[in-house]
Amino acid sequence: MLTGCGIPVVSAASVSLRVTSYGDPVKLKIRGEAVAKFNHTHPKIQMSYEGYPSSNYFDKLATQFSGGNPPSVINMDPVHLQQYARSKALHPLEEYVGKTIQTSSFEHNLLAQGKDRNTLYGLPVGVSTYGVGYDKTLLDRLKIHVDPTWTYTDFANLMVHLHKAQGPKFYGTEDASGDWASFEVYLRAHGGMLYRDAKQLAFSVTELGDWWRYWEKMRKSGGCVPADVAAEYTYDDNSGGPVIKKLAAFEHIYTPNFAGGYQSLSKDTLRLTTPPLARAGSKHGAYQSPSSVMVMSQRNSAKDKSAVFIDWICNSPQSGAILRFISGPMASATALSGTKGSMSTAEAEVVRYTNLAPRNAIAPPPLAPAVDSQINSLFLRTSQDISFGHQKLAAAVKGFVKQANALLGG
Amino acid sequence: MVNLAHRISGRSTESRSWPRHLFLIVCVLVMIYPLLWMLGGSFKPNTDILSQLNPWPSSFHLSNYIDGWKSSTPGFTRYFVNSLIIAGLAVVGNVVACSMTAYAFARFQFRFRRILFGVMLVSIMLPAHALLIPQYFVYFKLGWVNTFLPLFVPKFLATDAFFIFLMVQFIRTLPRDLDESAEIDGCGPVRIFLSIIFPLLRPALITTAIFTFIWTYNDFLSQLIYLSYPGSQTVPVAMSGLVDSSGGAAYGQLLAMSVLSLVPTFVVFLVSQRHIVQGVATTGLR
Amino acid sequence: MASLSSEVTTGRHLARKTAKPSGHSVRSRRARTKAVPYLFLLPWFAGLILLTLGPLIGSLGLSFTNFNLLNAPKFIGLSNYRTMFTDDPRFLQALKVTFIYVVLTVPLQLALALGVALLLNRYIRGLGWYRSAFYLPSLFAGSVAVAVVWRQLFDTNGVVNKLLSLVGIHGAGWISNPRYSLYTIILLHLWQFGSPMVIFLAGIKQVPAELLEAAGVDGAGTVRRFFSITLPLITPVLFFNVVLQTIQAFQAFTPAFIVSNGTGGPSDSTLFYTLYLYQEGFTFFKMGYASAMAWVLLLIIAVFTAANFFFARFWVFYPDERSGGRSRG
Repeated sequence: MLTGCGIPVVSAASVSLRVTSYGDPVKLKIRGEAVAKFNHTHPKIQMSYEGYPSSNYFDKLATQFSGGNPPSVINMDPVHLQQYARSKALHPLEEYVGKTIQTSSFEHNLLAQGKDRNTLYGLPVGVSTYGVGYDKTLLDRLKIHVDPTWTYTDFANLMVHLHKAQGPKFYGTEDASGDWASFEVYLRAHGGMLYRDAKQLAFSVTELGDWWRYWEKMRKSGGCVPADVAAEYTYDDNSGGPVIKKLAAFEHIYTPNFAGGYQSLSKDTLRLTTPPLARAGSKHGAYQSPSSVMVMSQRNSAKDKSAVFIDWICNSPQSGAILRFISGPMASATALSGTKGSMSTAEAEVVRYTNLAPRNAIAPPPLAPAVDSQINSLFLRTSQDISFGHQKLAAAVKGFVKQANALLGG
Repeated sequence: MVNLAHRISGRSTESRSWPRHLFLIVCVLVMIYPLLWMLGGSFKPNTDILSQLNPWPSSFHLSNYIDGWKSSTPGFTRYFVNSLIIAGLAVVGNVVACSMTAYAFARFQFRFRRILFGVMLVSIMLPAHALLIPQYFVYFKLGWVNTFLPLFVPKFLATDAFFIFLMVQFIRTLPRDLDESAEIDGCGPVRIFLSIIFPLLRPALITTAIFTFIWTYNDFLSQLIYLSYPGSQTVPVAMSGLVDSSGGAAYGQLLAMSVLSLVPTFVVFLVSQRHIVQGVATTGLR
Repeated sequence: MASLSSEVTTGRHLARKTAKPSGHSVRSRRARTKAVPYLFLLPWFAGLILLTLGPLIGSLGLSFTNFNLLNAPKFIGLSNYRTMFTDDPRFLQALKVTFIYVVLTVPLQLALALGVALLLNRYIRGLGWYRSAFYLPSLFAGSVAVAVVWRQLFDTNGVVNKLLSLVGIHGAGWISNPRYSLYTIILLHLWQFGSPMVIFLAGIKQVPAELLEAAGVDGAGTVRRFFSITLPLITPVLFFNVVLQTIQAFQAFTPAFIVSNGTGGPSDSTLFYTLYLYQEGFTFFKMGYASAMAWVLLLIIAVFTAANFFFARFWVFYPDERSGGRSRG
């Protein structure tokens, strides 16, 4: 129709192999370059690349799947993996392992998180690690040294100390009481986990009560930000976090959000360290997970060719040379070996922390069940009910466990 | 008489109008304060935007505009062209199709008119998110996905029932004597529509055009769902990526591009608002 | 849809028609052009059949199923509807939030829009710029930038609280405290009053100037002229705005989505109906349930719209159905 003007009112030719990704323009551009490089080196396989902003990316994806028009290869958040895998919307990668797809270059624990019921669906691209971020410039000024062998008690004491040292409108840390991921890290440090067989909660009413009481005490002592400050931002969203707004010195940060997100918004130097321990000498609860995985849709006309692409993008030095650290360090050792060139200070910090964190860590949990996002949202709401005084803590704990188990159908 | 008409139309002398000016300017400043903050922020470095309350930047940086414009390929020039094409076609579609439909509903008696009018209103009562999947299915089967077609063809088929309803209301404020005298003079319905209703409907048509332009221009979700990167990306989709939950936090660029994205809609409004309110000399035609 | 009958006036109108001297020739011409309305309706009809009706019926169908977007939908009868009213406190919360929003925003925004439209209807130098400035906030709909700006204003340490502290008031976290969060979203909506304002401006301009002049000659003041001439003559437009704003307020999504980052929080205090529907459908993969919610909302909106049309006959005044011509003073 208007194609003459170079404007794609009507698409010219239908392309059979499509790969989609999500993120900010910088990341999308770099991934596009990687796909172009692949097309250049593999003239017999042509991938057409589509990149979208993260907001509503998964709405678009669900719409495409539901409308019968899914992309061939999808860059996916591990959170969504089980939902898609169990709905048989994805094609397992097992049949290519050892042939087109080499898995030996991946850390066992990372690879396991691309699996559902022992079947590989997603090949990890980059590594993401939960960390405790802090404002190093500020702590240096106060001559406070962060010691990664701290316990949850040490952590709370330090936070109260910070609040007292920095005056009435400054608090030690964010209020992580409603953050499902922080609770998981806490549980793991205490030898527990979130789910048992993806069918019921694996923790007790007491453990959850302890967690919420820990933060209730923290709020009362000024160790963490008050309820209304905490509700001003969503977890893992860098925009309004208390560290950026200089209301607190500590906040949990996932490594892929560190360099392009948090550090780019602060003039102070930010650092990452491992979360507190249950007691001296025990292990911390953070673990490495894939920042995203590459999956293949079931409705894919050229699965063998797609597998070649998935292996190349996740697992080749050429890909590593282009993707570098844009979603954390590459998950595959082969790809990582291709990562060259100078790093920014923030990128160097991510690499340092990514190498440091696993040293004292516990093996990662199995893939989260499909209703995880619902339980996650319930967790946040319930914790807010407590912090705003809508519910008594004990009742809230019982209510949460009951509703979550109902969602799990156990 | 001349004096009185003067007073009624409100053309007061400048010496008496300064209190109104003052009042309006204060109101305007309160209204647009958030926008001033946005404008100021667009000249600040990224690290200052969220930590400073003062809208006035301590030093001016144009880099947000330059970097933002080129933040992704093919760049905002293309996104603006795409957005303007979609919004422009949508305006034409809505003005033509909705006015025809409205004319039929407002001026004719026909079977099932009430039912059809009801159906038309019901069609806008379902929230957009519930229609997304079935709609995508239809457009996919039509082979329209990844083209601009799903974004403007529906407008040519008068699916924006709000505007039909708006025009029905406006047509009904036009005295029927006009049509009737034209009819006696031998005009057919098509002539009446084209030479009487359509020109007299100008305020409603301009209103429809403005709203269609702005709403289509801002329609992030449909554009995200139906278009694909890179070539056919639009302004709102490109902007939403600048601040991204997966790490990117180019707030300065976001604010700069937001300021620029307001320019076309603002110009459209500024130019067309006078046509809405110029009024139509209904009396002269009688 | 019986209550739509005030819109569709047949009896009165036809009675007038036959009374006219030229009635006969008009009627015979009308008979010859019976196909004409259908000709004008053709594009709309095509759109209805091809694009609108299918998805509409599709979503109704989905509302009786369990549909996770990825597998084929499974028929479960009325189960979704039953769950909604008997076993879903969040649904009831969403209804409550939405009703508060509708009841507050519709009248407030219309009053504001009409007031400003009247203010900006009289000539003043730079009028176009004033109008555009008032319309400016309505230009950006769901931009992320609005969320950023809004938070800077209403944050615990935002501009509003800085101003309040000057007069010694310690402000709350307006967006983040469940007690106030809904009201900041209502304020955001009121701030964007441009669309009804424009419709009012257009409507006011349809009021024939000579009527106002004649009333002025008769000695009517500004206020009397407004209530006895302008207001009655713009009732069709006012009515349109009431209907439109009510429908849009029930469907409000964007302000809550951008301010609460899609959560409807804190503590579900800004869980708008459509936001909850969106969460159920796209975040939790329960599109069957979301579709059922959509149809319940459709029913609610239809009842309100029908009521609006029913009551319209008592206050909306259409020049095209007055008997006799307009009096000329």
